[in-house]
Amino acid sequence: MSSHVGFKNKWLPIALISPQLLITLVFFIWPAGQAIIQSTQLEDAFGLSTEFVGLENFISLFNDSNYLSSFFTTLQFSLTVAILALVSALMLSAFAEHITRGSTFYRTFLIWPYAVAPVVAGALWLFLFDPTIGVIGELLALVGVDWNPVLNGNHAMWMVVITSTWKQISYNFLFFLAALQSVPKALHEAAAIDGSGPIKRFLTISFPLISPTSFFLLVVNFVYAFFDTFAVIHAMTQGGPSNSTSTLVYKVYNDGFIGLNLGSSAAQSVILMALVALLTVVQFKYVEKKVAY
Amino acid sequence: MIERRPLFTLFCHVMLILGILAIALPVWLALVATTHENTVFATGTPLWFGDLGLQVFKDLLSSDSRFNNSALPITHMLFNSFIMAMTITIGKLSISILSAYAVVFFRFPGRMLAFWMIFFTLMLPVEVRIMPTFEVITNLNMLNSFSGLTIPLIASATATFLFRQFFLTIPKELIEAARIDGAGPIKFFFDILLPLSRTNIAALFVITFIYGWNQYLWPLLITTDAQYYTIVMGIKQMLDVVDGIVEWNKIMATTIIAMLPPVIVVIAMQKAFVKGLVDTEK
Amino acid sequence: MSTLTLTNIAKSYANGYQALQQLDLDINDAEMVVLVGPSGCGKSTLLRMIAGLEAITAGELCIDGKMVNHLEPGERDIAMVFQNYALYPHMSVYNNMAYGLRNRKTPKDEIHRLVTEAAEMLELSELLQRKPKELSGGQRQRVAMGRAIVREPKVFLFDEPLSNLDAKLRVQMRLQIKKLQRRLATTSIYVTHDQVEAMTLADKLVVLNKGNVEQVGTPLEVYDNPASLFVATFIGSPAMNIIDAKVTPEGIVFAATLLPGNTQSMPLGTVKLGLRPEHLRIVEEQALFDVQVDMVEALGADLLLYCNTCDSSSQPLVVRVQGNTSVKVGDMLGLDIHLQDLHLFDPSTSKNLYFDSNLLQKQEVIYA
Repeated sequence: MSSHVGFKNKWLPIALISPQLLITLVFFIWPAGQAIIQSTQLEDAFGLSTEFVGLENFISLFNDSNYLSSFFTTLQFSLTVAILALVSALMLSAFAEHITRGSTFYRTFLIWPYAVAPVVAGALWLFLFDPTIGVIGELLALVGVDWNPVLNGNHAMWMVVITSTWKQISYNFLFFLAALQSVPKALHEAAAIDGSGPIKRFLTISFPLISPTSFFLLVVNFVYAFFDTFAVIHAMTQGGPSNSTSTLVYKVYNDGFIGLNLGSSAAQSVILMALVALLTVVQFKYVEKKVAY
Repeated sequence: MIERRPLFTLFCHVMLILGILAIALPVWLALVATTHENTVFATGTPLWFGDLGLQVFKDLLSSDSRFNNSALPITHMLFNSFIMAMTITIGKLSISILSAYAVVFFRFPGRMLAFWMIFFTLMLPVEVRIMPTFEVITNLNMLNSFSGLTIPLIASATATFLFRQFFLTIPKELIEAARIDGAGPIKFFFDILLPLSRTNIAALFVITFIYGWNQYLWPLLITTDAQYYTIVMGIKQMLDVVDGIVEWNKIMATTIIAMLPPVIVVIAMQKAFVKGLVDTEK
Repeated sequence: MSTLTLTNIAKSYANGYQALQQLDLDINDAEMVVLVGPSGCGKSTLLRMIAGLEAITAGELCIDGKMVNHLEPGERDIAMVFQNYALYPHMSVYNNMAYGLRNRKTPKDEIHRLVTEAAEMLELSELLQRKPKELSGGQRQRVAMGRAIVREPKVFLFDEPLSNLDAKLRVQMRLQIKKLQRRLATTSIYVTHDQVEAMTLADKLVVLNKGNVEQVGTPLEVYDNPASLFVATFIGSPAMNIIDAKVTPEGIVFAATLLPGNTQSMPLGTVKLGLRPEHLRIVEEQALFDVQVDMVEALGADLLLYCNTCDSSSQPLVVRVQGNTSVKVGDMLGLDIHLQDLHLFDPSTSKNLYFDSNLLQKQEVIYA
């Protein structure tokens, strides 16, 4: 923290910061603590008594094939979304960076999906992917694919992947474009004099120089796919068919709210908290490095 | 442009336009769908406008229209969404700017502890603590209320960090000049700091408004009384048709209505929005 | 009437660093006091303590006889002009100047009168509605001064206000500040590291070094009778030449010369001899000592000659002569100086060994 010169009052700043602290305590820290406590407890079927069981909830989770497969599902989902969204955004931003006029115009029309609620995106794409009436459903039927996301787990997965990617492209595009535009023009000019065409310049100069941004986006995309995609899944597939799209976050909701298995849900929450913490630390350490550039 | 390669530049423009079209495709089809009778969908998806024009929109927005499972008229849900988004935005901006002010310009016991506590919230998005937070809300009797919908979402760290980052760039001579001019901390905040923070406030306004408007999981959890449904939640329920015809034209119209306010805010305040995203991630 | 009294003032920080040692200073009404010294000498710290922006670790600060150690800056009736101007970026020039008055609940028409008068004094009347970012450096500085003037405070404080301006502007503004201060007759304390600014602006000069006051006096006193080696070499440009010398019972020996005299009142042994470049004269005959020219800098009106003494110690020396003197590299020159322009300094304490130049007489050169 800085030694910024300021005022001498002692009570005023405490008063100013207390609303945020209060809400943080009541709605963040206290529940987090509760989650940790509950994760070590087992409630009976009627919710009448609780029993301390130590790490049993965690152990049974790690032995639960459903849980492990949801881990795998989440990973699969995150990686696919991240890669698809990053590659398409990178390409689009490379094109936008090359043209001198109109990049703001394109930017306007490429970033608006960020404003669309995930569940709304889910509804839209559900319409498109509907086996009977959806445009994409029809097209797939034409090429001979027996498109059925209600019964086919892979199809369901692709559906949520494409929807989540659609939303994430705009965010990535924004950052990639800003990064590409911040590469000093003089470098491009020097490379052009050395005989590099635009594509070669992108590969050998721009892309390596934006690697901090690329890495940063990789982490952010991963985190996004892990945590922010609940709404899409809930709207489109509800975790099905047969848990093929049940990501970790979805499972926490399902087991806790629907299944009322509080101990297990709490344990899952705790694991997720640890994961987020890890990813946040990676992100911050990374951002610190980026700032030092 | 470094060299003149008109063909390649043309290629870039073409690809970008294709990109825009691909991105816009779902919304285009949705818009088209709203102008057709539902019976049309049985045979396939229309690609161009139909006969109904804006009729579906008009129906939905008339104040007592209800359909399918949504127990609340669209206009009412829009109102709820708006109240929720604005409350979260104003709440978040207010307490974050005050906290950032306290942390940067004062020295008080527990300052670092408070800072780390706020930082800690970055690691706790709502999805990760849903059950216990739900319990707290229940215990505080805040279910099915605007306060329950908004207060837990007000205190996140990103806004505080953005303001803090900005406040650290204020030259200390400015504070000293103000002190010599007889301004105490409160006057300084309102007369000097706040006006200088305008662009940051605008940037955060856009981001937070979108965040507030698009909230899904949280309202889903804590509202069982239909009175409090937001439009973003309401859409899901329209999709939950048990039997009967799925009224796609109405659903699509609702999605468009639901996405319009945030999209308009993003496009109208594009500069502020971009600044907000880029700055909060640094 | 605005007088300041500083008694036993000291400043130290939590980590033990002592920024200012015991300091006593009396500042009279309408006086322009300049605090001068190199970076880190404590001059800015002292100014800020007077302003109330830094706490006073020890001692008393009294304004008009009233102790103000614990008063907030806004309560001390002082105004400050900052090095970086510190103008409120979102307010117009008019509002920048009016802000302090508004906080003191001055009536609106009174504010208007004060601001327009100050603006006229500083030639800012055309710029009253502009924002700081639309102004040049010099204009911004004038607004900063205007902000101080309208308050009609007891004391003006200037914290290196001209450092960020280009050389020509600095000279102009220097004059304007002096005129203004005379006209307003407000007690002022001015901090600078530039000794030319210090000499031209000060009624009273305070030379600081590493938290200690080296000398307090009028510019001329400090120039003619520097109290220590530090003051001697800090004031005056180019700096005073300091060469090794020895006090013997016969007189003072330096550069293979004996300056005979009654040295009873002086400590025997090695000393430092000070000669200002502008006091050394080139002579054809009866030179005091000889030097050889190593380098010549032609400034137009003056020539600076970088020389070395011709004796075995070959000490460097700078001589300032008229611009049209014909000298070139390699020339051997004979130099002379009025005896009252000689200064002797104790090599261990660095203090000026004030001596009566009448005790010395010139004689012929002896080569050692």
